[in-house]
Amino acid sequence: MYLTEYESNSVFGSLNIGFKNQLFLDLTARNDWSSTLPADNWSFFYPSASLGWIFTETFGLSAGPLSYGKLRASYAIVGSDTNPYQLYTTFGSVTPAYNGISMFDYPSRIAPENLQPEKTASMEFGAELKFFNNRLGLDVSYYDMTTTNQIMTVNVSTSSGFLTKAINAGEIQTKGVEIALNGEIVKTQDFSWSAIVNWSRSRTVVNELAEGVTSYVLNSSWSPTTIEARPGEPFGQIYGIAYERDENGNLLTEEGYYIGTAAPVVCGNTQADWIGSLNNLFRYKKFTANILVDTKWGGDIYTITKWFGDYSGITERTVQNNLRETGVIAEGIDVNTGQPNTIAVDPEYWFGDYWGKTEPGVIDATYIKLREISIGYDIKLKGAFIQSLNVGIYGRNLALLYRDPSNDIRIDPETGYGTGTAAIGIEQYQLPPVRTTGFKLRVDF
Amino acid sequence: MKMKKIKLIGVFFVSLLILGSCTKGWEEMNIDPNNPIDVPAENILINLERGMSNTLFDVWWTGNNTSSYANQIAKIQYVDENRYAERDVIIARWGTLMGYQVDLNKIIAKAQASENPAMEGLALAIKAMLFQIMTDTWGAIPFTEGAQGEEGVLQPNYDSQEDVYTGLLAMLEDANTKLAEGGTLKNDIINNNSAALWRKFANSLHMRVAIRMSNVNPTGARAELQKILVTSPSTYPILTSNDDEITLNWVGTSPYWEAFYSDQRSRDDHGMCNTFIDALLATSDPRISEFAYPATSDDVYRGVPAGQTNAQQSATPLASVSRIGFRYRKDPKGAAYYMRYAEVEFLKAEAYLRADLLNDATAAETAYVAGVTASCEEHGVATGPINSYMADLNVRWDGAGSWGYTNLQKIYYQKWVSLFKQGHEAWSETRRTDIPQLSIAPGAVPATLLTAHNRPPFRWPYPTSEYTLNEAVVSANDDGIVDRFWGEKMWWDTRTGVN
Repeated sequence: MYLTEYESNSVFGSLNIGFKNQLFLDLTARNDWSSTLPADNWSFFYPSASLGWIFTETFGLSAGPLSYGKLRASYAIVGSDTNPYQLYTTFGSVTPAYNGISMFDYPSRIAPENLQPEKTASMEFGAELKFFNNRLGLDVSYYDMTTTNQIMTVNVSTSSGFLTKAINAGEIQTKGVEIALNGEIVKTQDFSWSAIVNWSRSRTVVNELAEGVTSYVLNSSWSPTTIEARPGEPFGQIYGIAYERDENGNLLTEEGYYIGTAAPVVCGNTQADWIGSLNNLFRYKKFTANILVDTKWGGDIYTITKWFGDYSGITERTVQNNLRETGVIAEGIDVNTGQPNTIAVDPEYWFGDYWGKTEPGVIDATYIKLREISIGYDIKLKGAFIQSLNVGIYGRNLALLYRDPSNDIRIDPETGYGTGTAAIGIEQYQLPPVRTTGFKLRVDF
Repeated sequence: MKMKKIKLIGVFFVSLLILGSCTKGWEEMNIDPNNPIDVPAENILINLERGMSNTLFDVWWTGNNTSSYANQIAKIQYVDENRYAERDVIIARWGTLMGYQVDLNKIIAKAQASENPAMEGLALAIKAMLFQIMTDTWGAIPFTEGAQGEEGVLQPNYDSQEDVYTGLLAMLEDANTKLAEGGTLKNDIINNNSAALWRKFANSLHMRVAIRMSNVNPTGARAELQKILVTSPSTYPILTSNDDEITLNWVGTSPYWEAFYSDQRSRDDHGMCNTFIDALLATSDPRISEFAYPATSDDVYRGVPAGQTNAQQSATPLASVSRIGFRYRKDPKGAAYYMRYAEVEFLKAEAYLRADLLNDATAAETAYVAGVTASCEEHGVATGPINSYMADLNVRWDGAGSWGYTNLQKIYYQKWVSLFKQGHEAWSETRRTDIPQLSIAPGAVPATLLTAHNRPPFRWPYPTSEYTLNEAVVSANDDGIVDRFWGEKMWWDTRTGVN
């Protein structure tokens, strides 16, 4: 039986003030106590404040084309504790006993010193605008969120005799913009068409980690490749062995093989350039239809399906174009001749040379997906008991409309993204998300 | 309405004061009741001895890598590692070995606190051995600053291999002293709690270290060997018979089986290397039936190159290759060999034979004969066959054999044979002596390695994690490494014309 015991207490208070339906101020204050932290840090306090101003009200504009306008600003701090039993190192029992003698292992994790509660401070500015009697709406926000004292277990140099150390790790900052635009494009008695466009871009940068910690490994693969957070670099860098290039960016070859870099370098970054979606809603008499397309543009993933598939010769490209007879002639500049490479290498050896290299497994994870289509039909009933019925069909994850040419293994790039940071950036033989189609009946009483 | 909200804030601050005192017993509550904060030294020791007997002697470390570099074992399926497609997780055993140093530091601290010099000496001897194997694999290592993560040293510097060797000599001197001071050992599954045997091991290891550095620092090596063998042998007892062999003999019950036995229960990846089998056949070596099984197809002893090409692999079906012998792969109660008595006699033989060391040819011959005899007897060979074997001209002292080996080279050859399945030692000795002369794996990938290099690896690359987490230090120590496994040689590797 494994026993876990901890206690936490909280006090929460809030204050909402409204002025003439124009100005709104919300204040909150909270204090938590958690037994999982060192005694000096049991208690931690965090407040928030937000201010909203409906300026169309103040200036009496609501009769004009701008029917509604609100500006908002907020600042909030959120604190959080950790799991119990993090502060001391205990021996682990190794089972079964050896010849009846108990064995104990000293853990490979260094216990944290003076663990602080994690704190996230976020600032947000936004505007919500509605035009032409609410036919067109725009919502824009900008946020800047900084997490300090993140409680994380980081890898340390194994020369220290340990693998990891629990720390309050410096500062990670995310800035982003979110834009939502919605419009009722056509609106008649029988037919209407409205569309919602969402676009967002966020950038996470590691400002600093704890002293002496040069990297936080978010995810790693046996191949070896790591997804890392390093101070001064974007979050989610893909580190591994890449190929050497000349000053013009041409790949270099030697005896027909590409040349691996001496040490791991950045082979990509997992953060998408932007994500977006377009949702179209149609209504014709009693029929409704909804079509959602979404995209994640940019960002890289490391795919073992491609890397190991090529390495072990199970992918199409290791045999196509009569490769087994002609050999692989890698495109690049031969370092010995300075001329384009002409040396052909047996594909088993050429792809076998992928071992230990990350670059051949990195692809651009861009996708455009037909995310959802649904069609419904409303039936109004006059009965007193059942008011209305809606029958419909729907489908989710219907098609991968576009993928980057580098994704020649044809994986669904979305599968590289697991939940949270634990599975970030590495794909290995994952099943694509399930396509669901179905029939729907809604009854309103 | 507004007043009500403001009152709530007031209640909040009053609650703060009340709840602030609800933390009674929290410090005790946050101590894990499921696992011990402290355990006796001997319960750490037994886990360490068990663990390192896998780490250094399993199919990954020894079979796929070191014993293959020494051309004794060859992979017959999934040849990748033999072709130098190494696995980073195995290179990363650097960290496993440094973790053992943390365990050893804990054992030493506990032994000092309880005034138990025997336990401290034992831990020092193991420390020295693990650092010796590490430095002979990677060269510069974090000997002084490593294994102190809890003391805040998260990016330890490395010491040069020369400095490590100096440190090892001092550490072994210390181990010998402590092991002579009394105390008690417990839960020691290598030497069954015998401080006397640990002392013999420490001094024999001392000789191994001295001989290994003898080509680059003959003066220093001579002083150590003189002290141990000539001036003060009673102060420096060493292994004197096969009964003194330093091994961990596995208990043989699941999961504590000998590592190769454990592997072969589900796999058939390892066979004999042709270099080793051919040499044994050429000298009608009576140990061959212990090292290997004849091929099942034709009852002939046959090896394959370590890192064979596809063509070679196709030409030698699995049934035509010799597998590793019973005691080394089929015995659940098999051993992890830390030091054999034969090695000690060969160390003596070299020390006595060389003019720059102890310069006593008669003593050298005696030690050589004792070494060959000990290795044969260890493998159950009777006196008659040993005598016949000794008469072979490639074996006989001063014999003019077809290989043209000098007496010193015969010592090297016999030591190489005797070190079977001590992969790291056999690999180190072939790098130091170039006997027997080995070649790069014929199936090396990429094939550019075949033109660039003419010997098996000189070293291992530093683990990738060091480049991520200890970058400045590792970069200051990896100059001259070529193709991950070559370039910069060991400090003690004085071979010329090798690359």
